[in-house]
Amino acid sequence: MAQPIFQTLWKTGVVFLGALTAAAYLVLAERKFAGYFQERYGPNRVGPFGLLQPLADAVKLLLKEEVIFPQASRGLYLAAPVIIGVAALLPLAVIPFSEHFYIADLPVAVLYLLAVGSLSTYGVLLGGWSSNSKYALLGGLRSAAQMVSYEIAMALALVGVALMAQSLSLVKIVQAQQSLWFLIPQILGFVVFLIAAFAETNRLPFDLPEAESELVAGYHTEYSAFKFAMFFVGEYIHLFIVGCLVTVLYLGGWYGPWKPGPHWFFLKTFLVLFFMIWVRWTYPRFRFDQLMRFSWKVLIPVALLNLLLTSLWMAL
Amino acid sequence: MWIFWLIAIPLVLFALGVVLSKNLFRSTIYLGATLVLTALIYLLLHAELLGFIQILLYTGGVATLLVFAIMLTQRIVGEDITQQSRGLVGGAIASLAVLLILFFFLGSSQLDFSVRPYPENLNLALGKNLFVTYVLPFEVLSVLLLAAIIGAIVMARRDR
Amino acid sequence: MGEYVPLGIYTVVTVLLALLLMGVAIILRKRGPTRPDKYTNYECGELPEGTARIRFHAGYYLVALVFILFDVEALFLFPWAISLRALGWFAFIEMTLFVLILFLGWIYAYKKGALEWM
Repeated sequence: MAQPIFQTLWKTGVVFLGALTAAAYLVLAERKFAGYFQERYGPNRVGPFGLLQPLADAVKLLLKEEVIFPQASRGLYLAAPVIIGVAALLPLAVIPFSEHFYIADLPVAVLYLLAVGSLSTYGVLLGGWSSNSKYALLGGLRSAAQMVSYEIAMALALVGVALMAQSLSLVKIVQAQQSLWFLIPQILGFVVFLIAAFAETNRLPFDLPEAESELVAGYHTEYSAFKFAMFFVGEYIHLFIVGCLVTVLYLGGWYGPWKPGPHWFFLKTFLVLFFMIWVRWTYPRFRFDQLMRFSWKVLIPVALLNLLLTSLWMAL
Repeated sequence: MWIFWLIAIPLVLFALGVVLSKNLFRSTIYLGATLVLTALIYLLLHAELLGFIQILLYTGGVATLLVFAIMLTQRIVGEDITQQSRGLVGGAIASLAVLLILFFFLGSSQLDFSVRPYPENLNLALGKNLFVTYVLPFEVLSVLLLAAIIGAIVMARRDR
Repeated sequence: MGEYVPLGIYTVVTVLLALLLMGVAIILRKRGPTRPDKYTNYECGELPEGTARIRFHAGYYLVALVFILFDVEALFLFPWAISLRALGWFAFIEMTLFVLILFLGWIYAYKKGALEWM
């Protein structure tokens, strides 16, 4: 019994360190790429090429003054960033980074992912409400409505993957892609999943919850210092996880043209993330009514069509 | 066993919070926590599918719905609607009575309370039960859900 | 259920980490004289007017309602999806019927404009 526990702790440590580093450097990567897309340099003062910028940011956020508004509901106000942080880290427990490196291979991992995702809706609502501020509340409710609308499209896309693999375990899903990545038979599902993922991570073109021009910063308007950092880091960990999930569900996880291993996993994840950053700095923002209509009237029917085709194929 | 108590005690505390909190929003939040903890108990009983569905549907869906409902009704009458849990004493007596009845029946019944062994192929076992044995209730369920969708839309539109 | 032990450990460590980080931040944070007007909500530099707890539009409520109903549908699809191979055509027809009936609800919502925002 002691052996597996020790092993889990070791793996947990590696995953945490990896995820936090990934999130920190995703922020830097995003700023750097944004700079290049806009023909400027991006952060380049702290360390060579600005490589130490995330460290400086972390220290700054840790040392900032703690501001808790008297109007805020203190307990819930402090609970929200913790819930967001925890909900952001939890999905990593089931992601298989390579054939043998994962914390738990749940037989219902896909449902686990969706369930944990709904926890973050909870944190967003809590943060928005407990700040007792108009922008935060508007942002929180909008965000919840958006996440909820795209969750169905995402779930329906995931059913397609489950159909192909005949399993909900992520390890089995990757193993089912050894000869053919699901990207090809599930191309419709892939597109739906990717679009829904943009909405679930609140990123442009669907970053309505924190549309700066109308809502200041959305549900975390009233958060500062490390509480803000929890929201911010949570957002980027979420982004990293979406990159991992696209890799696991559609791009064959750790399989590559030769010699399977985690290097393929990380290469593909990086490409997916680069694509997401690219989209963010290329497209303008949707309007909120367009965003809601798009999910209900386009994505969900397309996902259902995908299901019909896939299940016909599987039942044959 | 200690894991059960670790879940059950906060579960009861949050449940009390739902009933006793004056603020409707807080009540909803506590309700969400109660439902998540209940899901953990399902997991302890090896009902993983049910556990995750509970979190997904109740915390993600129902709690969000309740929050929206509170926001919708807020300030209609000019002040925050607070929950006045009237009849606390009566409620406490009623729930105690239910508890006693439960104890009585569970104590005298011949039910098997041991946790069932995990089926070899859970997915298949579940699929067979849901889509072969209980196919009729399953199909009727779709009609029920259809009725619920139409009902929801009719009610919500009248409200506008 | 062997997979739940590592998952449990991971979850506990996650929660502890989040609390620890918050705790460290509270210990390290800047103290000292501060401006009282920092402690008001942000409202474009003006003093906040009235309460934030305003009445929201019914559209939010409707979205959440329709969401729950479609979510139930999606959740039934998961056990079906992983046993389709084993159950064959019968399950396929059954689920097609189920989804079609619910799709009627979608069409109704579409026609009534419930999927339009505002």
